[in-house]
Amino acid sequence: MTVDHFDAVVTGVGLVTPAGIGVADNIDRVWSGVSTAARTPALAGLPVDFSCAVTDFDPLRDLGRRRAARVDRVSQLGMAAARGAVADAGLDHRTWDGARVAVVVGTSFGGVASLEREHDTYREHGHDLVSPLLMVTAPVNMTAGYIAMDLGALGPNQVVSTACASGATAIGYARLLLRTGACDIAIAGGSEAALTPTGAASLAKMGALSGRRDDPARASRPFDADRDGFVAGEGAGMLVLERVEDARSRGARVRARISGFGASADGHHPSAPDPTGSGAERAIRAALDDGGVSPAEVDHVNAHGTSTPLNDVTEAGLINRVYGDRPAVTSTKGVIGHLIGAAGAVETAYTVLAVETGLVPPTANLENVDPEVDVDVVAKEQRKVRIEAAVSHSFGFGGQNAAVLVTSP
Amino acid sequence: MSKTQDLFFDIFSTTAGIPLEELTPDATLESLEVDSLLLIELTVAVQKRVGVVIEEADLAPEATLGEIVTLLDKQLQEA
Repeated sequence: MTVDHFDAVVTGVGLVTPAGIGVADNIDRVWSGVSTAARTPALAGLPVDFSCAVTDFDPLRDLGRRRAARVDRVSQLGMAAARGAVADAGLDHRTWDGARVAVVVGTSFGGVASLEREHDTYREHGHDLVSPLLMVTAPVNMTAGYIAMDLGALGPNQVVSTACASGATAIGYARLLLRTGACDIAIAGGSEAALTPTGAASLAKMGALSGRRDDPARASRPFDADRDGFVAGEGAGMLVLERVEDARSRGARVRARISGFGASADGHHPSAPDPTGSGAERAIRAALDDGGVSPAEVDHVNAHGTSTPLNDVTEAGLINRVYGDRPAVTSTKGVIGHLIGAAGAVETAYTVLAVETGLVPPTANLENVDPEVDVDVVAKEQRKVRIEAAVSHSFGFGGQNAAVLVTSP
Repeated sequence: MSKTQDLFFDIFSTTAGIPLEELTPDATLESLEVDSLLLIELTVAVQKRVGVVIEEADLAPEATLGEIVTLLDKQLQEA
């Protein structure tokens, strides 16, 4: 079935990531290819005691005490990124028609740290001291709710959860809301703050994490022959999306366009990718079809590129099969690690910035490309590429896949 | 300022996210925009910190922080 083409334009980008707060800090760090992985005090004593944490974010300072108190970190990060995106778009939430502003947030674990803390309280002190706020801090929906409260964004307000594809899925669905006329402005992205000892212990136990304890900064090395797993991260990324004509009529700067979205399920295994890559391929081809772009027209791919042995070789084969050897491929997880539910949003934001600047960030720590990886991975330093079309890949546990097609304005 | 006031203001500030310097004994819960959820959270926070239970019924919207400190002081002495 074919439908009319639709572009949502990206007029704002908000980033609160291990690489920094805001577009400029993220470009400085990510485009220089320097990893942010470091030992994390909260994970001390665990088999994997390092991560990519957001270290220069002070919620009380950055959001104000009234907004930040009694709110889980996942929502604090999400609110800060949403504020950043709205400011970047040159919009003023005090004067907009809030009923026409949608919020779509992707997250996988929601306020899991609050849940774990209150569980500890229950075990140690009994039910009497369990916080009544748990029911408004832990649930996954709350980040979108808090953004609505903070910014008076009173249109459709949703959270989508597709594991590591959540942030990309949120952007895809926000574009649909614009397309159907359900809103005029969409704040869309992802947030994750799940660097808890329990989560890290489980990920380490399942063999998903790099065990490079002696050298965390070299642990996340997508497509490298010596990769041994991903580095868990936290953070948030939000985009402001609008219809082309609305952005034009208010004279907004357009960073790039979201021109297509595709989603699929592997239906194969709880954590391992389908070795044939057929599920992921369907998501990518759906995104290209949606945007009317042929695979050969894609200049740049921001790969899922987790740095796990299995993902990277499967994904490289997929890239080669779908696009050929033409696109400049990168995985920004080398710098910021794997932001789980926020990954797809932050990486789509980086794809937007790559399209806008014509610069593809390098894949950090890529020293010896795995011989089984037969694609053009950008290593060592950023590369100048004229980008008309780029795709951001996101593949989640549970076999949930998403692809976002980004084109030049 | 009494020790109990220091203690309660500290608990209140941390729980409500309102800076200490904005808290005065004559401020009412209503004027500080304390909602029902925050009220329960406050009673839990006090119980957690000093082991004393303040009943929600004693925390009417028009109650001042000073009155709550007096109440808490009394309960601490009885405990």
